[in-house]
Amino acid sequence: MNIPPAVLVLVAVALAGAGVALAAFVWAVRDGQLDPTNAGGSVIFEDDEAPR
Amino acid sequence: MSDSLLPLRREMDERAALPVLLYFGTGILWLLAGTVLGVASSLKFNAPDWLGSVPALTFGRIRPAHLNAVMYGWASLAGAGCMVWLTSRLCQVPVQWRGCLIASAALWNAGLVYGVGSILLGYSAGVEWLEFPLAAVALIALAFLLYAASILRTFSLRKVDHVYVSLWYILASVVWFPLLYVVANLPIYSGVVHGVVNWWYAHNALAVWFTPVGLALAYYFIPKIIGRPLYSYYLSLLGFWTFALFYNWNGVHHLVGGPVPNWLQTISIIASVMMVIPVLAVAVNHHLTTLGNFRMLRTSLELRFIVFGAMSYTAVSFQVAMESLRSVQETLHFTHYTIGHAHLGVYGFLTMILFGAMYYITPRVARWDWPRPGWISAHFWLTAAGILIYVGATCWGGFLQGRALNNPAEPFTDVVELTRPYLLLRTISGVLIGAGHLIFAALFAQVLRRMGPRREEAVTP
Repeated sequence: MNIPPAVLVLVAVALAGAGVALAAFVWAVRDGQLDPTNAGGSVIFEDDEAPR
Repeated sequence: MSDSLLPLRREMDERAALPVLLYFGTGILWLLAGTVLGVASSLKFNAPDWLGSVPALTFGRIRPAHLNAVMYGWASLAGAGCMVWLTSRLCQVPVQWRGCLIASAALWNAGLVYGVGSILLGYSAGVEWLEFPLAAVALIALAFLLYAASILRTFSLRKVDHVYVSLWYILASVVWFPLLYVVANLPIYSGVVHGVVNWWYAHNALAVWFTPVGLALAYYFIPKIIGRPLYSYYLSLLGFWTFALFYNWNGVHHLVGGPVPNWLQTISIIASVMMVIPVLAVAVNHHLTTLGNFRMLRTSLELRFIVFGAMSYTAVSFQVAMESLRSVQETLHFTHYTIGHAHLGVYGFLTMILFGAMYYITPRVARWDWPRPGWISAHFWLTAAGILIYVGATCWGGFLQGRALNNPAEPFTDVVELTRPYLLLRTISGVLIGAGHLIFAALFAQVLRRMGPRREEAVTP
C-alpha cells in the first residue's frame, strides 16, 4: 500500500493532539476535577459584585 | 460572595483593559469591513454585473475576503479579547504577559491586512478557509501563540482550585487551534488528501476555536447574569469531554458523495450524529438554567444576546446532525441551505454571544458605561430579525433549490429563477444586520470617547 507522506504527518499530529487530551483527562480525574458533584458550578459567584 | 474580592476584581479589569479593548476595537473594524464585503457578495446575486469589471471586486474575490475578514478578523479578535478577560476572572488572577497580548493583536491585524489584501489582489491560495498566503498565516499563527502563552500563564497562576467548564473550553482551544492551523497550512498536501485536510481544517476551526469561544462565554454569562448556577453543572463537564471526543471527526461530512473513501465519510457521519450527546448536555444546561427567568431578558440586554446565541447553538447543532446524513445531503449539498446553516452557526450563535459578552465586558474594563441603552436594544432587534430572515430565506430557498436540482426534467435556468426572491431577502437581511453593526460600532466608539456616564463601582448587572 502506498501511503502519502502527508498522511503520516497527519497521523503523528493527530496522535499528539489526542495525547494532550488524554493527559489532561487523566490529570482532571486524579485531581478530582470530574468528581460527580455540582459544586463547581458555584465558583463563578465567588467574585460576585455586591448587591445594588 | 462578598466585597472582599472587589479590589482584586478592579485590578483584574484594569490589567485586562488595554489588550481587551485593542482586540475588541480592531475586531469591530473587521466586522464592518466583513459586513460590507458580505452584503456586496449577496448583492451580486441580485445584480450579477454590478462591479463585475473590476477584478478585485469580483465575486470570486470578495466572497472569500468576506469569510476571512469575519472569521479571522471579527470573530477571532473579539473572541480572543473575551477569552483574555474570562480567563482572568475564572482564575482570579490579573492577566499575565500583557506585552504578548498587545504584540499578538498587532501581528494578528498585520496578518489580516496582508491576507485579505492578497485575496482581493488575486493572490489567494485557493483553498476554502485557507485562502491566506503563507506569510499571512505565519503572522496569525505567531499572534495566536502569543495569545495562547498569555492565557496559559494566567491559568498556571490560578487561585481557584476548580477548573470551571468554560476554562476547559478555553484551554482546549489554545492548545489545539495553533496545532490545527499550522498543520493544515503546511504546503505538503495534494489530491484527495488535500480535500480531506481542507474540510478537516474548516470544520475543526469551528470545533477547536470558534465554538469553544461561544460556549465558554455562554456557560459563564447565563448563570452569572441570572444569578443561579447551571442546571446540571456535572453534565456540562460530560458535555465538554464528549465534545472533545466527537467533534474533531466531523469534517469529512462536507465531502459526502465526493471522491473520498466511503469509510472515511461514514465515520464522519457517525461522529456528526454522536455530537447529539454534547449538544444535549449544552442545551439542557443553557435552556433549563434560563427557564423561569425569561423576564430577565427584558432587563438585561447582554443576556438577551447570549440567550439568543445559545438557542441558535442548539438549532444549528441539530441541523448538523441531520445534514450530515447521506439521504439529506442528496438534496441540500451545494445549495444555499449550507450558507444559511453556516450563518446560523457563526452569526446566530457565535456573533450574538460575542455581542452580549462585549456589552458586559467593555464597560467593566473601560470603566465607562454605555451611553444609549436604547441603541443596544435597536442593535439586538436589527441583528436578530436580520439573521432570522437570512437563515429562513437561505434554508428554505436552498431546500427548494436542492429539490429542483435533483429533478432532471427541470431546466437549470428555472432553478436559478426559483432562488431569486430568496436571494433578494438575503441581501435585505444583510442590510438590516449591517445597520445593527453600525450602531454597535458607534456605541463602542462613544465608550472609548467617554461620552456616556462614568461607571459606578460594585453595581450588579
